[in-house]
Order: sequence, then structure tokens, then C-alpha cells
Amino acid sequence: MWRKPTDAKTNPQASNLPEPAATTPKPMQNTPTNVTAAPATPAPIAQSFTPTPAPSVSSNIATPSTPAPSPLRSNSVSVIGAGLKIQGEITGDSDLVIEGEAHGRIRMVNGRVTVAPKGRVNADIEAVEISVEGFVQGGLKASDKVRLGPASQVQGSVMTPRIAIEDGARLRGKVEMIRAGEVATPAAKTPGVSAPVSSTAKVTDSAPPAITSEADRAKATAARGSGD
Amino acid sequence: MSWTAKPRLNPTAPRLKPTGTAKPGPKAVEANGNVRISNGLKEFLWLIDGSSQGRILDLGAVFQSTVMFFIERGFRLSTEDMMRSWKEFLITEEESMRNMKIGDEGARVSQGMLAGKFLDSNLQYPEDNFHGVLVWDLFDYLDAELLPRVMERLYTVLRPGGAVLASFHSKTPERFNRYKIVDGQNIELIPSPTLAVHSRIFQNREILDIFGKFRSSKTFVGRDQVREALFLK
Repeated sequence: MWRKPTDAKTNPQASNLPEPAATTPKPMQNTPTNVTAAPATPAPIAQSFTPTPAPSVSSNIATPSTPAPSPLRSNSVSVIGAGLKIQGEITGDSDLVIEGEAHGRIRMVNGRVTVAPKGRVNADIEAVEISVEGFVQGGLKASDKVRLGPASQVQGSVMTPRIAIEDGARLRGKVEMIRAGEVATPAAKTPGVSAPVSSTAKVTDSAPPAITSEADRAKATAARGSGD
Repeated sequence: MSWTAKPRLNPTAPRLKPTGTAKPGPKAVEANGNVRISNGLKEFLWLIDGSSQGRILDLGAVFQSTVMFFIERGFRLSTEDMMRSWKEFLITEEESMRNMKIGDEGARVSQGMLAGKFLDSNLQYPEDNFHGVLVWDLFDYLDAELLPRVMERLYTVLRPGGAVLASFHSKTPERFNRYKIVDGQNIELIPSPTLAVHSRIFQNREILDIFGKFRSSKTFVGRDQVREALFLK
């Protein structure tokens, strides 16, 4: 005898709900002192810097008609506070907000990097999303999106599948579109084989290495071999 | 070279098809009084068409629509807001000279020296790199010492057959504008805070002179007294 399945009550819509949009502002922890890795569970902490939502010009960006799941996987935020100067390589899985100064190289392959209005970065940045409100001298390489705010100054190349440039932004360099998710380039080396960057401080959070899967390694190796 | 017989930059490259992006119709264009038809841009696009994966250098302010316009057509765009860079360079130099002692040899700086120093850190690109350069009205504002050096540099970074689009005011403009590409035949003038004082008005003969090394030219005069000039290397 046919019986009605008991698990048919699950709401199919609920399982199909996309994750929040990549541009949704996240609560960010802002500590006035050193670089901190915030706990995984966001705490209701007063914010001194809140990333602005997607700019009005974002309508010009080629976005898919159906909201794609966010490629961001990290759920913690690290902050380089105002007055702090970091030199060296910064890698990890969390989001990073730079309100101070950073020199060297920044690689947050699963997170978002935000350069606050008074933040100054002299480094190549590699992340899923990069939002610039301050000054960056170095290449920006995002696997999802780059946003240049109205007071941003960028000197360096931009490689991203999507870009949002607000009026007033200053960009001196090359803009190149890449496929979504494509980040690895000759400059992008795996942590295990990368030559150590001369640094006075190395800030690395406790997240696992940036490239964890064999597929990622193969992709990075292929990109190095192609020379582009 | 006959202007009508355009040499395609890369004859083997497939000709770009018009993209599916909807162009703003006449109503949309009329709605914004700062939008003007640019025959020069139309011609410029025709000249660089065929150079798929071509490189474009924009010497004006960066705008989302301009960037996307070229990116969607498969070009690689480099931007360098030269007028702003020049102004900031002059401010920095003035500041450093103010801090010098009287009689210091370093305080004797000619305009030519400034121009040379400026170009040591600006417009630094490989030779024969670009298929097209957008100058907008930059030349109207450049120093007389800097202009010929910039022209020399542009000639160097442009590929053979590459095109330069420049515009010149036939009368002193009422305000300082930046230029944004709306679509394949319209540009929008964005009123902006004055970065530089309008330096001079070029006559046709003078325009031909400053582009002396270039092979061919074509000019368009708009109702707004802006002359657009196209030159080929």
C-alpha cells in the first residue's frame, strides 16, 4: 500500500534560498590596537568603519539574473587598525579590513579585503572581493569583484570578473577581466613553495593554508606554467 | 595613406559583433544635456575594431561606463588621469622648492626640467603597446614644455597603425569637464572641479604641427565648438 512520504513536508524553497549577496555589509570588529582575528560568531560590537553598500553604478556590472551563491566562505574579520603598520605577507581565510598601513603582500583567498578611507596599502592584494576606499599601490586580483569607492586611489593593475567604479575614484593602471573564481597567476604562489617575503612582521591567522585542495594546487601550477 | 582604406590592425582577428547591450535611445541621450554625439569616437572605434584583445590607454578620469564599454568589447584598458597627476606633481614640486634654502642650486628649475621629471614617473609603458589612446581635451591644458614631450611619448607607446583621439576647444570652455563614454557614438561631459586653467586654443595648423609625426588625420567640429581630431601612427 502506498504511503505518503513523511519527509515531504520539508520546504523546498528553504533549501534553495541563496546565501546573502556578496556585497552585503558584514558586521566588522574594529579594535583600536593590533591585528585581531575576530571570533567565528559575530559579536555585537560598535563599528567605527562600515563598508558602504554596493554603489549606484553597480547596475552597469554584468551580474547574473539569478543571485549566485556567495563565494565568500569566511565568517571572521581581522582588522589592521588605524595607526598600525604591517610589513610582510598577510594570508588567511578571514575577511580583512585595513585602516592602517600594510606593505608587502595580502592574500585572503576566501575572504574580502576592505581598505578603509584612511587605509594605505603598498602591496598586491588577492581576495574574493576587494573594496577600496583608501589608497592602494599594487595589483588587485579578485576572484569575484573589485569595488573602487569615490575617494579611492589605486595605482596598479586590476584583474577581476566584475568591477564597480564610483565617480571620483582614481585608477592608474590596467583593468583586465578574468573568469569568476580565477585567481591564480604566476605571482600567486602556494604558501608551501613561496619564497619568504622580507618582512619585519608576518601576520597569519589560524585558518588553514590558502590552497588546500589538489585541484587548487593544479590550477595554480597550470597558471604558473602558462605564464599569464 | 588613404583614410577610406583603413588598414585593419589584425586582419585575421574576427570582426567584433555589436554587443547585446542596449544603447540608450535618442530620448535617453536627450535627457542629459551633457551628452554629445562624438563622431570622433565613432571613427576611433571603427579604426581599432578588429584588434580583438587590443589595448586602449585612457588619459582621462576613470569612469565605470568607459571601462565597461571597452572591457565588454574584449579590449584591455589602461587608465592614467594625466591632468590630475600633473597637477599633483606641480604641487609636490612647489612644496619641495618652498622648503629649499635661498641660493640652493636645486631651486633653479625650468619648466623643461619639470616636464622631464614628470615623465620619468608617468606615461611609462612599453613601446608599441597600445592600439588606441584617448586623450580627450588634455592638450588644451598642458604646459608648452610638457606637450611636445607627451606627444613624443604617446607616439612611442602607440603601435603602428594605432589611433589617437583628442579634442580641442575652439573657444575657452565655460567649465572644466571630464569625459565619459556613454555608448559607441555618445560621450558625456561631466562638470568637475577645475584641475587646471585652460592653457590655449589651438588652430588647425597648430594641431597638425603637434601631431607632426603621425601619418594621417581627420577632424570633426561639433556644435559646441569642440574639435575632435583623429591621428594614426
